[in-house]
Amino acid sequence: MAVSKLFQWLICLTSFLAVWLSYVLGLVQTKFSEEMNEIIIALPIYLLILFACVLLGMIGHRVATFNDCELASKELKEHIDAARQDLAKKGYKFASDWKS
Amino acid sequence: MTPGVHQVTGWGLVSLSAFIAIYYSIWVIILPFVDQDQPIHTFFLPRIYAIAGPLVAGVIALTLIGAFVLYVTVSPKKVKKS
Amino acid sequence: MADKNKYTVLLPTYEERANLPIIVWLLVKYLTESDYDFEIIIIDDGSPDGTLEAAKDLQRIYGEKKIVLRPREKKLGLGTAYMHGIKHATGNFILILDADMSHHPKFIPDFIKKQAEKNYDIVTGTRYVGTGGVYGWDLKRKLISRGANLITQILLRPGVSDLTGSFRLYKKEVLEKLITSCVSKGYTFQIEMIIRARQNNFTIAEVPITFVDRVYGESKLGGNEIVGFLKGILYLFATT
Repeated sequence: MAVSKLFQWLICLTSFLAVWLSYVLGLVQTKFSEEMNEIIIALPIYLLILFACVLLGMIGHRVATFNDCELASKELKEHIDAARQDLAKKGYKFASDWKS
Repeated sequence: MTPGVHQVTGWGLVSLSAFIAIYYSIWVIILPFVDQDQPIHTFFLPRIYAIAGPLVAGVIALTLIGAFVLYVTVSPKKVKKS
Repeated sequence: MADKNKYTVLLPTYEERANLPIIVWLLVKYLTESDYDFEIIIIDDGSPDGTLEAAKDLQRIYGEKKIVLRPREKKLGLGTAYMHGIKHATGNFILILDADMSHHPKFIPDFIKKQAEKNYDIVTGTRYVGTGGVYGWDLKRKLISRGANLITQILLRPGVSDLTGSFRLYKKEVLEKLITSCVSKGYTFQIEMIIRARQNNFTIAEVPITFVDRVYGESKLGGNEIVGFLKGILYLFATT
């Protein structure tokens, strides 16, 4: 039985936080320089912001490259007219409130 | 709005997110290695804001989203039968 | 060599009196041109505007073997409409699409050819890839569509580019199996179908389609829909 995606995310997140916390709380001996220490402390929020930027950028890119199909709309209008004519020939009764 | 405006907005969003990513990366990752008396530091707030800022913004955002969800759930204007 | 397959088109309708004759005409045109065996099952949910009468008129023109009527008394929802339609389907493939002409039947031969390539269980139309696209969407609609799709991709990792689309070709037994296991409503229903298909290891292919939005000025994306969508996604995220 496969685990849910929520569960997969929780496993990853808690693993990361466990490692991070054990460093921040000084539970492990490390030989990191003071600069590295500063960076590691800020790591969770940094990754979150970076992730948000990537999402925003992806949405922006996908909106910018979203195809607008003007041709499809014109073609549809032509097909509607052709359909109307053909059906009228075959005896179809259109409603009086028809608007194309 | 024309599709042209859509494209401009889209690429604008891409630029904005790239700018934020680069600015924030410099702030958090690069600056600790740069001496305090270098001029580049004038472009960035004290480091504490690099963590406090997003946290506060995040809490505000979550509150607004929560309020929105509550508002929509509690006041159904049209009862839509699915 | 004649294709031994038969394609059943399921057309749930509600107040589509103006669009129904056109969509039926287009379906007949493209399916006949490519020499496919087909039937169109119209499932009208008690439309007050005379959609059923329009359907009967079309039945008179095209024959009862091609146009099958299976109306219901009131609006009961898409999932149950499909189930109702399947019971009377004599084809081995089921095509679903919207009756308001946002989906163009000209793509149906593409769907069928794609399915035959590797005997896919499902072929779904995508607006986001290749020559796919939309017409008549404002910036807000595009932003919401791309945003919602991205959230769904990240949380549910479906391996399909367009999840909320409802222009699809299913093998009949595949659709039957999936419908009985889906619980969602609205936009999430179509998403859940794909997710459940993945769970069952069904094969899915995509075909680019164009979505022409003719319903101007109507707000189909209110706060209600957005929150309902998020709830549906989170439910699937937590349970699959």
